[in-house]
Amino acid sequence: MSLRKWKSRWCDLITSFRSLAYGVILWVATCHPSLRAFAGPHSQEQSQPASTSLTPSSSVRSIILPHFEPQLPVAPGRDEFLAVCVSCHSPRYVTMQPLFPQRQWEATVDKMAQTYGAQMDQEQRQSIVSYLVAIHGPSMKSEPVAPADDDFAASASPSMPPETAPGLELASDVVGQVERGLELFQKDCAACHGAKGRGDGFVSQVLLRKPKDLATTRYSLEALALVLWNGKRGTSMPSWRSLPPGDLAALAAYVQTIHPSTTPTSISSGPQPAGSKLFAQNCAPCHGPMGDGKGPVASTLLPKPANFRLKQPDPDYILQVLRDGISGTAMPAWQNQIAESDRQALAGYVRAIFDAANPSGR
Amino acid sequence: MKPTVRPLRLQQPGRPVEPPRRAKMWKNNRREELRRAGRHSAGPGELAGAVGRRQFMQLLAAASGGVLLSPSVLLARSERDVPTEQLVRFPEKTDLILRTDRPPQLETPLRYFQADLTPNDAFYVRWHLEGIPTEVDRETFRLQLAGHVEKPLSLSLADLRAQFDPVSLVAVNQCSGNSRSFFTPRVAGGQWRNGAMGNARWTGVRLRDLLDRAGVKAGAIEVSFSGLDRGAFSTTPIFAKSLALDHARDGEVMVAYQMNGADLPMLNGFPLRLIVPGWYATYWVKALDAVTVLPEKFKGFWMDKAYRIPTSANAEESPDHLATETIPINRLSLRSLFVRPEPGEQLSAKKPFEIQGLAFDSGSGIQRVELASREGGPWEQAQLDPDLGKYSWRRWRFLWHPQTPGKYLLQVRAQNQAGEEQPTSLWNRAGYMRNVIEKMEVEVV
Repeated sequence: MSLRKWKSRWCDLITSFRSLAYGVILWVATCHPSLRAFAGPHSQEQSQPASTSLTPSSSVRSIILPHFEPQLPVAPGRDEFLAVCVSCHSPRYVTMQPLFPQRQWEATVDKMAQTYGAQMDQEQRQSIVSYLVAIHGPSMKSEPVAPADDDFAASASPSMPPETAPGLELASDVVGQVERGLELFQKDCAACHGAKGRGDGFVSQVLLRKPKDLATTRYSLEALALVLWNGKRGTSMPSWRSLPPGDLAALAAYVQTIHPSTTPTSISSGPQPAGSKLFAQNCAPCHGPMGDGKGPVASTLLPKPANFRLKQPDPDYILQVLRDGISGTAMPAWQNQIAESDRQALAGYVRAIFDAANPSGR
Repeated sequence: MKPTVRPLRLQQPGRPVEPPRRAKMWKNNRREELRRAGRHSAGPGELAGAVGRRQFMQLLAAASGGVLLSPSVLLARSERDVPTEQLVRFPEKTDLILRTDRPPQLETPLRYFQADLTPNDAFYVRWHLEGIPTEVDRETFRLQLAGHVEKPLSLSLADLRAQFDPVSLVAVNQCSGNSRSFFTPRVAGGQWRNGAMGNARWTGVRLRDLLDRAGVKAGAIEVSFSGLDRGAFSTTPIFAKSLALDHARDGEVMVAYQMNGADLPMLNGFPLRLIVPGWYATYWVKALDAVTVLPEKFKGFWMDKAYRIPTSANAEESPDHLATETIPINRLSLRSLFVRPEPGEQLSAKKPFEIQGLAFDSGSGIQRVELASREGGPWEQAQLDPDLGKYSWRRWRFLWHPQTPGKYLLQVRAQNQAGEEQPTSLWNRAGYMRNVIEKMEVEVV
């Protein structure tokens, strides 16, 4: 072999080894835990035992789905879209379509309501159609839509005052009513709220504002009536007006049983002077001075701040929320601003609001 | 993090020098190289053999870099900027084109159709309902066979394997709405290009054997099928399809537990799916767990309202004159399409290029495939690969010598033993059954 040929083969070999070395270094680097975050949603699989688990001792085969939920652009109607549509499917079902005109979006939304059981009334239907036209209609060709925005408070929807819900009557046969409510719950609520109402249904993984863990909070009948009738704007909880009043009452009766009837109160719910002051300083702007969710800032927020006259969260849950906030809402984490003992006082005060507003306990 | 590897252009005996185009592609088109890097789930040795040692080293380096530039980073941009061909990797799958994420619709990149059997991890994915099965216990899973039968059955996966003769066949699975995005005017639905299909060897048991074991009672006329998937709300119709009893008992419709010799991927219907050879994939119910024999016609949304086609020839209608009568979609229509060149590929006038593609129908057999390179012809016959079975697709090839640079219009059309032909245009409101004579503009330099 000539020296020249030998040299060229040697260069070739070195280049190959160098490429291989680079490749190996990069490959090893991407396995490093600190870099896993960049590897995208499927990195969840690497941190789990295996994306397809089939250990010799287990006959269960399972996968973990990644989520590629797109952000919803800001435009009027976004929270109606969120309330009615996102619980069933990703918004990509919209964005992958061509830019349809209004009549096509109307036909599509009607199909969702009539065929697939999407829960919406006429006003919501209008809002949703407007939203679809705004974010994926003919005008998109000339002007791009506003950039996506995670801050739900910036929703530009016209505010729709919630309708007064019809009063829900508890039947004399409460047991039968609760049984009926359980049946209904499994049909239409469990997918989000979980079979036992713990907020862990299979849809919950994709929702930013998680479905409520109904065991953490005691709800008055009025609270349940309102949310079943109006849905919860700013979340994927739709309104269920299509259900007959008897069914709504049954659902309310059942949901009340999810919360254990006797909660060990680690925090006294008598008069709370310290709590009152803290509440006025920190919480009243959103939750209102009476704790009814109608603070001066509340009108700009979605979902709305909690009305503590209607629901009484458990002490542990209140402390957890005060510490961590609630993602998908404007409720911040207070652990660095309010001392632990003060948070305890606040919890007691908040629970006292419900007792004062609901002396009969329902 | 670009590896600083320079491709060396050494000539080795018997091996042509890399055309400059390849090196340019690698440097300037990162997305292209990432795609190529994610091409195979084959081992390094096989991959090296397929693409050559030098390219393999580059691919290995690029593949490692590719993990860092994955979809979650791309998603940080505004939705408006998202390219139409975003690749994502779902469990048990390689990089596929994202159409929707929930429920998932993932399209196979065209180059996988260069293989006769579509690899399981590249097979397209399509579910209707959000609640798709993500966990199945092989031991406790049961296939229920009930209804108008003597003896309802509850069969485990082990029962199916042990108690019934296994059968295998190669069959094309094509989504009813494959290629819908090419309709003009556009229609709503999954906006697929040509990748909502695949060819695989399906192994399982004949549905007829299961029905015979259960004993179909006199008066039965249809069989319905449904699976483990469900919607979020009870108001969403469960995905269920039906077939006429005679069709169900034809000995070719089967319940498959394997695909290309391995378990079905979870996203393609593990542990069982229905195989209806020669019919559109809407009938190939995934995660099949209920077979019900019926003494009356099946009533259900997914048969009565969805997946309906005009009764006209070719399922044709026009936006101004929508058909008043419809029937459920059924047999695959005769179709041929290009696999190479891919859209946008540039060809060289100096070198012959093997144009290749696929042709298939509902089972009567492809008789001839013809190609033209200019509007109006002339048409020349393409060479057909060996037949893999009447329900498999058939590959065709054509060695083309363009010789003169310029813009060409490649067209392909097939004819089958039943005398069917492909139309030049097709429209229906649902975007189903696209099978027009395909045209591809190609630039030859």
